[in-house]
Amino acid sequence: MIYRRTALFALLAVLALMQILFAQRGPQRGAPAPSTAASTLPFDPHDISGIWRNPGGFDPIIGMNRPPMTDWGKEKWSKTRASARNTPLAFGFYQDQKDWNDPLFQCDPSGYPRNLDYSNYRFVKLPDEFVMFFERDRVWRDLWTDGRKLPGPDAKPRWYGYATAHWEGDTLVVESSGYDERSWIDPYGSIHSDQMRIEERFKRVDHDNLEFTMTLTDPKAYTGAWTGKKTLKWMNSSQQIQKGLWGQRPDGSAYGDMREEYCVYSIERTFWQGRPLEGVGGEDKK
Amino acid sequence: MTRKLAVPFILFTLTLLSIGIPLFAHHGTAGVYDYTVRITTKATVTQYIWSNPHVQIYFTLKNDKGEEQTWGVETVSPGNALANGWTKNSFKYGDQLLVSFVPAKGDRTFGTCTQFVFVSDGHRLGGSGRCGAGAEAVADMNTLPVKPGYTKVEVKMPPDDRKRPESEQEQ
Amino acid sequence: MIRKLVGPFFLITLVALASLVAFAQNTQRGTQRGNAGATSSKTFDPHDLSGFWDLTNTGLPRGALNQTSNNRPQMKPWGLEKFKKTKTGVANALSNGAYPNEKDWNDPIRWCDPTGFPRIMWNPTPAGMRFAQTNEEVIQFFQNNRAWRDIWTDGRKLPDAETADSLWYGYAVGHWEGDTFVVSSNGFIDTTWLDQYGSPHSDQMTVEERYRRVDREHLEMVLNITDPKTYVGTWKGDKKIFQLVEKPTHDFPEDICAWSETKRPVLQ
Repeated sequence: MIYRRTALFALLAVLALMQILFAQRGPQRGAPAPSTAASTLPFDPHDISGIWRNPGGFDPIIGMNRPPMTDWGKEKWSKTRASARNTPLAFGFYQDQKDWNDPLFQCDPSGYPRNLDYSNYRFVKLPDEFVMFFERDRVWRDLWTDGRKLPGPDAKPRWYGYATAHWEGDTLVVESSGYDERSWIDPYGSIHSDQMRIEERFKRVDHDNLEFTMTLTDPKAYTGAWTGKKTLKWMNSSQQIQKGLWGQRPDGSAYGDMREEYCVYSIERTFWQGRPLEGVGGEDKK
Repeated sequence: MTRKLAVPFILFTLTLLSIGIPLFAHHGTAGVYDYTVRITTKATVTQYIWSNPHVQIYFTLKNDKGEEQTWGVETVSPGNALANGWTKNSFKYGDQLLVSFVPAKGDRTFGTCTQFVFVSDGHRLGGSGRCGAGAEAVADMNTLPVKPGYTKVEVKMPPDDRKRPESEQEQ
Repeated sequence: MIRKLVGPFFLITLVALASLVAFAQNTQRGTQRGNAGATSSKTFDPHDLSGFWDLTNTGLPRGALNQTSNNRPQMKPWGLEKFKKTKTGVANALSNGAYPNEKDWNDPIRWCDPTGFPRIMWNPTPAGMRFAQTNEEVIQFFQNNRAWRDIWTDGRKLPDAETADSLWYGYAVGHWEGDTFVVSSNGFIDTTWLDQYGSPHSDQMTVEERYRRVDREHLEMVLNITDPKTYVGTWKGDKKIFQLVEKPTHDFPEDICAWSETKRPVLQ
């Protein structure tokens, strides 16, 4: 009995070690591998520039603690047919891909915050804003720091909304609104209205770690606030581009970049229509 | 049985979480593939589709009756493939391969979890044995029996001596 | 006595003249403010391309806005075969003839294929374009597609197009030659059109742009296309003029093409 327990313990320790090793597997030779421990490199707490690693595709930053929906919200949600499985956030589990109506499968823009699930992100600091670049959909958000106010409720809704940002001490507070309600919040079919507002808080705790808290409110769709938090890891370069694509800097580290990841309907449509791999991804009804 | 699968499953789960890969495929493949058999044989590449949402490779092979068939296998997205060292040039029409994969249920000629060995120089791409997720997870597909109808054309795959553990993304 | 005063007198005159000239220049700047098209004498940094820029038709014949130039070189057989499959509603020197039925038009942006580069510079809308600069790159933002290009100025070299993924907007690096910013790019997917008339290109295409800020409000650009698989020789572009957009809180409208809004069938 003790033997088995010790063996299991040892095994878990090995697995944990392997997990750390995997996490440290940097994409480029010569680049300093991002450390899971706090980095000692110098950093400016008022600069969140850099490429930051997507913490985990189907584990959205907003998290799983979705508040209860209003009647309007429930009705909208009841029409969603997500492809994901094993979660109470989805309206149901649908084996047949012919039932799915995830807007991404017709290459609708991912929207925000959903695009966080499919990209690494890059912040660039400019005099009047931080720009937030995404791999998926190859779009950017402007987080304006020039003092402008968010547009009012009559503003034309956008897939990626409108955003402004300001500093509260060492925390960059981003407020956004004006989101097009066609997008899903996550892969499970969580919906939102055009009244959705998001507050994000970014705090760079050291060179390699960026704390990211998101609070979503949408009085038309949800009865409460939806909050999630993650710590993002700094990357020298996205792991989704070719190794050695741009060669090496004089110091031996790789020149960094991110992927251009467009969802192009004319290319993807044959996959989802089941041609030529007929039935791939779902049961064939015939 | 559950005991035996517990450890590999924990490893599988932890690995996925550590490299940020969705635990469940974003388009469910439950019920599509037959995770109880494999096909391991010679094949010739006819098409390589390097695009979203999934990189696909088509190849011809022969079954036990000597009939030539065209099979297609789906892999990961180009971005994930690049992370695993694939490029848009990894396969060419006419490439001679040894392939091992888990086929779809019934007689559908497509598959997943494919291992590729290039006959020309012996280099390997693709998975190393782990396949499926959740209740369908298979720790080592190399131990599965060959699908009936493909037993005579079975080939022996060279061992996977790649130094780095292959990414779960290959599935 | 007089001789002793010559020196100081001369000096005072010089100073007075200098002041007069400075005063006159200040006045001139004031009157030229907002004078579109006129040369600005406002100070500007020729190595600063930042700002929102609108493409103008200055110096170009009517209709020349939406194309590289009218001087498209002869196509090679590969290019010609591709071009012969294009169908638009326009009949001009660059197009494959006009097809009267819109249902036959196969311009890929009709079903929301990305516009690609360099077409995004002038079509479907004149480039709503913005430059921003950091110490490692010049970023070129576009209203159309909400696309951007990273023009790296950190010393890196272009990737090898043979092995690198082909991209809708390619790869780009830039450097300064005096006051001209020279951009080189490659690695383009070959399914995009170069203009709304169907001008084709291959994945061997390379593009060179030369930008020069001639004064505070105006940016000159010449864009040349070289594609040995498609064209005989280089396709030399018109000299285009961009004008600075002066709006303190400017922003681009979000101009993303979603197929679900068009539902157009994909024609090959």
